[in-house]
Parts: sequence; C-alpha cells; structure tokens
Amino acid sequence: MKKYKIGVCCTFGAGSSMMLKMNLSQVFSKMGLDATVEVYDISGVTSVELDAIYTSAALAQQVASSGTSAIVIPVVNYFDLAELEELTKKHLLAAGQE
Amino acid sequence: MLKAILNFFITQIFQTPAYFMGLVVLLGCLFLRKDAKSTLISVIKAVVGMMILSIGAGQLKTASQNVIEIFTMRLGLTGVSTDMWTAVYAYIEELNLINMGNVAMVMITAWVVNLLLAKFTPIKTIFLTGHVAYCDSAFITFFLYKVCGLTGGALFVGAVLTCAVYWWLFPAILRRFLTPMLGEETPLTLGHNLCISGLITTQLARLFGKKEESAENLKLSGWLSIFKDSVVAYSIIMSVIYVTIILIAGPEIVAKKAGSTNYIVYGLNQGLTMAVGVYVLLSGVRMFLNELIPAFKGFSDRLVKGAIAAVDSPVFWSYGPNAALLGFLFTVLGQFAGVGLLALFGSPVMAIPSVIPLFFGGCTLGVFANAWGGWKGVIGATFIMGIITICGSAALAYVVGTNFVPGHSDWSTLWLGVMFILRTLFGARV
Repeated sequence: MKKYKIGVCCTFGAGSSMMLKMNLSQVFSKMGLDATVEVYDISGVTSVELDAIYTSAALAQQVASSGTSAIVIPVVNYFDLAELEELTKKHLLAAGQE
Repeated sequence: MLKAILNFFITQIFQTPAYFMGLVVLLGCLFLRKDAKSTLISVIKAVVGMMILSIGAGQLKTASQNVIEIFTMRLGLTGVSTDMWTAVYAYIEELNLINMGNVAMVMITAWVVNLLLAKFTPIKTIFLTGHVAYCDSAFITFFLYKVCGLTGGALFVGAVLTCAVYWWLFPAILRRFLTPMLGEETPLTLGHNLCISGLITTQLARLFGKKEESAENLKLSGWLSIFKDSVVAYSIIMSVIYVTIILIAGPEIVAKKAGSTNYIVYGLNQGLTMAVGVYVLLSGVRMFLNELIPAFKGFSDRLVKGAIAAVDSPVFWSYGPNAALLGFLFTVLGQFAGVGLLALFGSPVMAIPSVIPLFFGGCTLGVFANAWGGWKGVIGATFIMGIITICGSAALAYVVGTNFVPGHSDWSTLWLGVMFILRTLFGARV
C-alpha cells in the first residue's frame, strides 16, 4: 500500500496546524491509510516533497501559488472529522487512482 | 547524599526550562505508552526545541531593544515594544533574577488546574494553544511580580491560578458570541489573548453594520494576502516601522548604535532580524509543541468528557478569509491612528506596533466582527480596537513599569484593568 507524506500548513505552523494534524491522524487511522503527517508554516512547506498539503481555506490559494507540486486541500472546519474524511477521499485518494 | 541528589535535580533539571520540558514530555510518553525509541526522540526534540526557542527570542529582544533605545535617545519618550515573544524573553530575563524564570513549570501546573476545573465544573473549556499558554505564563508571572511584589511560592501559586482561570473561563464567555459563526453545537472556542477584546469587537461591529452585508462579497487586492506568510509579514512590517523610527532619529543618534553601518541599512537590519528571530523561534516552538500537545490532548480526552477545545486563532479565519484581511488592514490603520493620538496628547510612553497584534489580532477580530456586523462592522470595529490596543499597550507598560508588553488586545483591556486595580491595592511597583 502506498505510504503518504502529508503536510499541514498554517501561518505560523504552531497552533492551528497542530490541531489539524491530530484530527487528520485520527481520520487516517480510521480509514486505514498509512500516512505521516508533519506541520509546516507557509515558507517551509514549499521546500519539502509532499503528496498533499491540508491547509485552511483562507490560506489555500497562497499555498497553491507557491509552486509546490503537492495537492493542496482546503479545509473549512478543522474539527469536522467527516469533512476531513470526505476531502481525503475526494482529493488524495482520487488523485492516486489516475 | 539523598539531599545532594534532590538538590541537583531541583536546581539543574527542574529550574532549567529545556530539561523541565523534556521531563514533562517523558511523562507524557510514558502515559501514552510509547516505545523506548520514540520516547527518546520526543524527549530530545522537546529539549532542543526549547533551546531553539530561546535563541530566536533572544534575537527579537536584541533587535527591538536597539530600536527602542534609539527612539528614547531621540525623542525622550519611553518606547514600548508590543511583540509578544520579545516580551516573553525580556520578562524571563528579569524573572531569572528572582529564580522564577522557568515559566514552563507555571504553564504545566496551570494546565493541570485547567483540566481539574473542566472536570469538576459545568464549564468544559480546555486550553490547547500551547505557545500562547507558554507566553501567558511568562506574562502573568512577571506582572504579578512587578505589580503586587509577589515572589517565590506565593508568586507561583498566584500565577498558576490566574492563568488557569483565564484559560478556562474567558474562552467560555467568548464562545456565546461566536454562535453566529460556529453554531450552537461545535465544541470549539478561541484559545488566545483575544477573548474579552473579541467580545467587545463583536458588539462594536453590531453598531456599525449588518451581518448580511458580509465582507466575503467584497473584492480585495491580492497583495494583502502576502502577509499570510509570517516571514514576509515580519520582514515588511517591522522594516517599515523600524526604518521610520531610524529616519526620525537621524544619522548622528543612530551611529551610537550602528557604528560605521549606514543608518538606514542599520534600521533595515533590525527589521529583518525580527523576521529571522521569529522564524528560528517558531521552528523551536513547533518542535516541542509537537511532542507536548498530543500528550496533553490524549490526557484531557480521557479525563474530561464533552470538552470544548480552546484553539489558536487561524482556525477561525477559514470562516471569513476576506474579513480576516480587511480586519488586518483596518487594525493597521487603527493602531497607527493610536500612535498619532498618543503623540498628539503628549504621552510620555509610546507603543510601537508589531506584527502579531496587527496580523493575528487583526485577522481574528475581523472574522468575529464580520459575523456580527458585515464589512462595515469589520472596518469600524477593528479600527477602534486598533486604537484601543495601542493606547492600552502604552498604558499597561506605564502601569507595570516595563519597555515590553505582550501587545494583544486582551492585555490592553482586561489585563490593563486588572493590573491597574492590583497596583492601586498593592501600592508599588518593584
């Protein structure tokens, strides 16, 4: 099975992205995905190779235009685990099947 | 022999913030039943993360201090930095003199008290913003020391209880005012120094506009979004502010600090050093929080059922990305208007705006204001809060007697009031 490298990104990479990281880890383990999740700030996230970057809907455009090759996934409610699972299926898993 | 070991443990491990944090993380790992390998990694990262933090914060302090001194030399006014991390470093330096510099100990104990309060009372807030908890611990400890003259055990207990109540009660009060944004059910609230000021902002916003005219329908310049990158925000904002101060001071005065370096280049160097300091600091903060927060969350999940998580401000920006940027813009204008007012009324203390209150404060208050008063509400409320924040910061510096204040708007409102009352009661500053 594919092992995913996932980045979580916010302005500072300290507070809100940590929450998203914990919630995502929970969702991934429930879905049975093998993934490592690391936290970054906007400047740092572009310099690493990642499969996908989950970030706030407020920052997604900024992250996407920074030249990263990862799939950028905008999240509205960090604590809505159903939304996170939905987004993961729609963006991350769908892209893997192409 | 036993006494010597205990003494070593207390003075060398317990009172050294980095090792203390390592110890806490070690306990967390044991609690989460991690294996030896990942426990070792976690403990090392927590210790090194704390050391990186203090190097970054030291950079911030040096750069701010240089500019403040130049400011004071030229204008004879007391310059005050409003950067929270700079304040943390400056306060810990001073607290070290009375052996109270390990504020991580206050933080961890206050967290435990927060958990107990949430477990045994109907208010279920758990404060999860680790870096803010660390800063608050430094701020509260320092203020109680300066304003009430507390030291030792009394200071420790006072700071722990004050932090715990602040983290537990005030996010819960704010939660009611976030309903237009989050609904009734979402178990979330803000865990940051913007609780009382957030509440004031929503009520101001209501006076200015209607929530139906949302800021999300406006078209804003794409340029504003470059400030979402903290390196860019710090570089631009701090360079502009510091170079302006340097230009006011003039080459002769700056030369006392800058030596042979051109005075404008010197100002630019200090501004960019702020960006460097913050970047270094955050990589350290990220490192130790990565180890600490999951352990704390695992602990609180097991202990407190139905907890309301008090979390960092950017979580809320996705509820109004446009409102956030509009709030930032008018907080900048408001804070500079505040600087103008301080100058106009001949204030002996001048607060210098800084990135965190401008951007993180402005964006967050903007989103809150939008939920109550639409774009007109954002403009009116964040502008007024900008003025209050900067004037309140100057007043807080005066009341406490320091060149460094945290800068966020709760410190300029709620805590300014508390410290003013405490100072009146206790009579003197240290």
